[in-house]
Amino acid sequence: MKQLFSILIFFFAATVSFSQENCDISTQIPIQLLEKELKRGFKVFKKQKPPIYYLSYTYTDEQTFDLQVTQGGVSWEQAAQQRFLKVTARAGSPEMDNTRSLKSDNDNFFLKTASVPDPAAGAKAFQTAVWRLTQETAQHAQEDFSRVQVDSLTSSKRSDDSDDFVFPDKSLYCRESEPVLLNTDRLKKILLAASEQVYGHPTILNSSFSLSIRQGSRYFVDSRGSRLKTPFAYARIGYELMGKTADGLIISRSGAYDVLKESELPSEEKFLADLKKSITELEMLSKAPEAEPITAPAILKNRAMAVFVHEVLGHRVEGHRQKDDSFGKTFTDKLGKQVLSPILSIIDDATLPYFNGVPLRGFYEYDDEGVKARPVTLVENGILKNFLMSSSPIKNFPKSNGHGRSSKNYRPVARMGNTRVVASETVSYEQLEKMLLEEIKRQNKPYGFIIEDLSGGFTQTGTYAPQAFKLQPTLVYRMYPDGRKEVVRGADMVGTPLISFNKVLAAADDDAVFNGTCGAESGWVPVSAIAPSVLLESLEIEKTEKSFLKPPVLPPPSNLEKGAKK
Amino acid sequence: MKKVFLLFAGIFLLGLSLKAAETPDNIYFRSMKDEMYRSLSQLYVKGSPKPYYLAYKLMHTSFYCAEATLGELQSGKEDVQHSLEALVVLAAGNPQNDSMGFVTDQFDYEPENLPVVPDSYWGIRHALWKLTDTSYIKATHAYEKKQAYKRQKNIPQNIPDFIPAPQASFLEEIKPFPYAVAAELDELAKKLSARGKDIPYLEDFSVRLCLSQTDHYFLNSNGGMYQFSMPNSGGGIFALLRNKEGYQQILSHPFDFPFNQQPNQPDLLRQTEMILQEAEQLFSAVKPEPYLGPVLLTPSAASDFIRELLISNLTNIKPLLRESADEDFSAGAFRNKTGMRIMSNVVDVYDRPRQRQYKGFPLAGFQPVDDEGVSAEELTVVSSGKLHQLPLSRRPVEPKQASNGHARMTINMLPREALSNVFVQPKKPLSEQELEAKLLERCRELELEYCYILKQFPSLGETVNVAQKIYTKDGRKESVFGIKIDERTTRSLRDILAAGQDEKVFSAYDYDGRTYAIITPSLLVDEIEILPDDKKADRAPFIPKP
Repeated sequence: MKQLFSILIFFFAATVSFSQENCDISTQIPIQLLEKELKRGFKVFKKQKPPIYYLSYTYTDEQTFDLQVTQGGVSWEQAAQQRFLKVTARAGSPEMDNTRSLKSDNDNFFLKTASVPDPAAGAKAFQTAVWRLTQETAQHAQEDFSRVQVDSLTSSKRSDDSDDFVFPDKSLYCRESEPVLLNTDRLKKILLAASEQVYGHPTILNSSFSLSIRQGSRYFVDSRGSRLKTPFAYARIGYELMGKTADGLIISRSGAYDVLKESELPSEEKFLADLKKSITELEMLSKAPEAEPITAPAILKNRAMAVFVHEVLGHRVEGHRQKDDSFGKTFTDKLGKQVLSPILSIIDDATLPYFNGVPLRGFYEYDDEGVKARPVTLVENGILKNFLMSSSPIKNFPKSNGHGRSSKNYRPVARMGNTRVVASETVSYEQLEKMLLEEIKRQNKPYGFIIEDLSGGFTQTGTYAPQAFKLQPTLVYRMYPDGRKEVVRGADMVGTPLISFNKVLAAADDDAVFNGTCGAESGWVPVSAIAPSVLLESLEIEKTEKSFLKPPVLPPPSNLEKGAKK
Repeated sequence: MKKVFLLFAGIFLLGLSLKAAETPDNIYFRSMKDEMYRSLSQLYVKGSPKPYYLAYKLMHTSFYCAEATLGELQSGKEDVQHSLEALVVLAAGNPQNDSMGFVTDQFDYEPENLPVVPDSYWGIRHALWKLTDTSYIKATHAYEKKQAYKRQKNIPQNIPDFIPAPQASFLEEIKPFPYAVAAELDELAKKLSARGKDIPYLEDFSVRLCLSQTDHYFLNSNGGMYQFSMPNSGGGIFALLRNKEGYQQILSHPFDFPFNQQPNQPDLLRQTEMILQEAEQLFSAVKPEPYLGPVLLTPSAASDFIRELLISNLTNIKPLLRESADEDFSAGAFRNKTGMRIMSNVVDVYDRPRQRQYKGFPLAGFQPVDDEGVSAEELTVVSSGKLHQLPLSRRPVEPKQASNGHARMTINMLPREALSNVFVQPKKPLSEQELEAKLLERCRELELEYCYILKQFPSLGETVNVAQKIYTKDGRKESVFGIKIDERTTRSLRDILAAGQDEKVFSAYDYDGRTYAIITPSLLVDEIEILPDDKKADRAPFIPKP
């Protein structure tokens, strides 16, 4: 309990420092122009048949920098300024509108986004672009609503007849942030030098070193009176190494560092040392024995556990999946029931900007529907308490809890932000390994596993397929009863959600962050997951798919001819 | 057999004997030469045919685009962008019988390519190594399947797959990218797009200006090579309006910058005014009735007409063998029509791949050495209405056929035969007035109430909005929108009655992505069928434009 308390204190402190208004929303030019256009149009739109009963604008002003380096050369470098507008128009009524999932057809989550001129440079061109996109979006909303009406007449009864929309509370908020200022020239030199470290390592068939910065402000205006300006920033430096074994198995290692300030960057020495470690691991993988299908006890290391929770539980507690009959609804009727090991709690808190000095990509202050972000306890001591909610209500959850998210060409649905696994009882990681050894012996298994790292994976939530998951570890050790560790390759983790989580026996005190980008029906959104390492009573391993093509016949040129004239 | 062996060995040795002095001393040629040498000497899988021919092509493109709408810049890239792309051609087996010219069900007939290659010696070599390896694996698959296919279909091996040809080089200094011009484009785009700002019926008026230059580097294992820069700058003006009848229409007007890359501001302003005039005409234009009769194609429409009916039928002269089809539909329909009448004798057609510019504009098909290392020859394509010369490559269709340097490749197609800079030259060019008079005269002969002038020629399934009816009685013109041409036949080429003296340069692409320049005047065609498109009127906006 003490540990949980200290976590909450940290959440609070971090949120306060990042959530102070420092500008006047009424003086923001994009807000003024969007408000003007919204007022001009909305009074006409709401009298149409069917009426456009809700309208919102999201204008994003974004600066991007992308650098990709390979083999001592720059493959791609681009700095860009992007300004785009997304219009949300809801036709019909909150009880039934154009966004309802169709039973008789595929859903369309696409929402056209348009590039727009700088509103500060000239009002007329900007307003004309807003007007054009509004017309188009409103007409599409009306057409979609007609389809929903037909579908509701001809399709079977919905198991959850909740409304399609709940109006978000009116919010006014304005914050500007210091720009992310990284010395890109210096970083380019570091990446160019690092990219030459792969020379002389024939295992590495492909390598890529990258720097990506995205930052800017998002302006939100809606017909309920919300006016918001919120900043966003993501910066990442990293590398990826890829190889292929003689039997066609793709092997890879990668490293990534999310930063928001120059001071958060890894030192050049640390970056190169991590790279060297990754190269060694890739070479170990290339010589490692192939994994065999088996169930055995396993440790999921912290970052691997973070991905595991995101994929296996997180997507299944997204609110819209509980009322759409095309989804498997694994947890819909499990509210108040035990779904995880009682030592685990799970909170999704998008208001958390950092964890242990690492910037969290899942941080935001208001979601993409203008709803204030807040911590949501999804699971408390193993008992399911909540779902992640957008502004699409479900049975017993009539309001959004600030998780309506989307990327630029999609309409929002409930998505994760920063998903945190908290263990009520922890041991040191060394102790966890000892517990693994005991479990291997107790079960009389030939070995157990340590899942060191996961690249990602997928989970099936539709009713058309089994409610299963498949995750792709990139580094797996077998641990033998005598404590010996051996790297294995080609091991995929598979399973079903209800069984897997109940098998958590213990957790360590080594929480770590996995920063990533999550793809689902509302596009790609930045997310974070934080978790400790855990011991699973059993984990099912199956073989990884292989390529039918051999590795290249000749070794990489930089391997053989290092030092030749360039 | 002995002769074949010697030929094979000769080409192979030539491939290995490339000397540093022969190629320019830069990272592009050094990396191509070194990786080519290594691949030809070492790349081999036991039991499979060896690679005997290799060609590398690198394209370094620099570009900057400015886009503005109603006088304000649209969001866009901040800096000049650079990209390096690599393409590899590899033939395995031997020249008499190799892996090329055959399409398996598994792979398309395209070179291995990588669109993003790092700009460093090892980066380029690494890319070429990967592409060469994949090309080789695919070539070995194709070789085995091709032999089996030929046995199954009883195809005799009386013509070699790949013939020798004198190898040429065209090497010139790479021109620096004109950064100073890029800096001026933003203001120019704003200025041009602002012309549509206060026109009430325009829902948008935007201008896109792109400064672009591609530096080409090519080397093959027979010693053929080229290095040159080509400007490919230009842009477009776009108008969006809703006409009186409620149809939302888009007008687009593409243009190229002059060869010196300096946008001609007065000329662009003139073109902007011209599209504004066309927009005004379109605002009150009428829908067409079905029509069959003479049509005058302005140079812009004539270039589309020539591309679709002539150029596309003169590409890919040697048909490919296909694993699961008896016919190669990508092969040009005129490939067997040498000496036959394919066109009216009002115009002759020439292909001039070595000509770089015309009247100050770059010719997009410029390629002095082709993608098999052969010096590109000028061709008389059509003379007195008859098909005279075909574009040919080192992959002959008939015995004793020689290449004329017209093998061209893109990321979508391995080197195959194609034209480049196509000049349509009238024998007796007429002035604009004479052409219109001839059009009206023909209309009267046919007792038509009106005829058509098309400023764009619609592609199949597309609609154009820039057209006019011209009335027989008094020469009055009336703007028409929503035109489609469903029935298009090469017969129309034989129906050309007259040509103008107003030739212009247009850049075009074919289905395989090759670039062409088409230099054509207005053409009067005796019979084209015009139909109204099927589009319905759009819904009126809920609220007026701000």
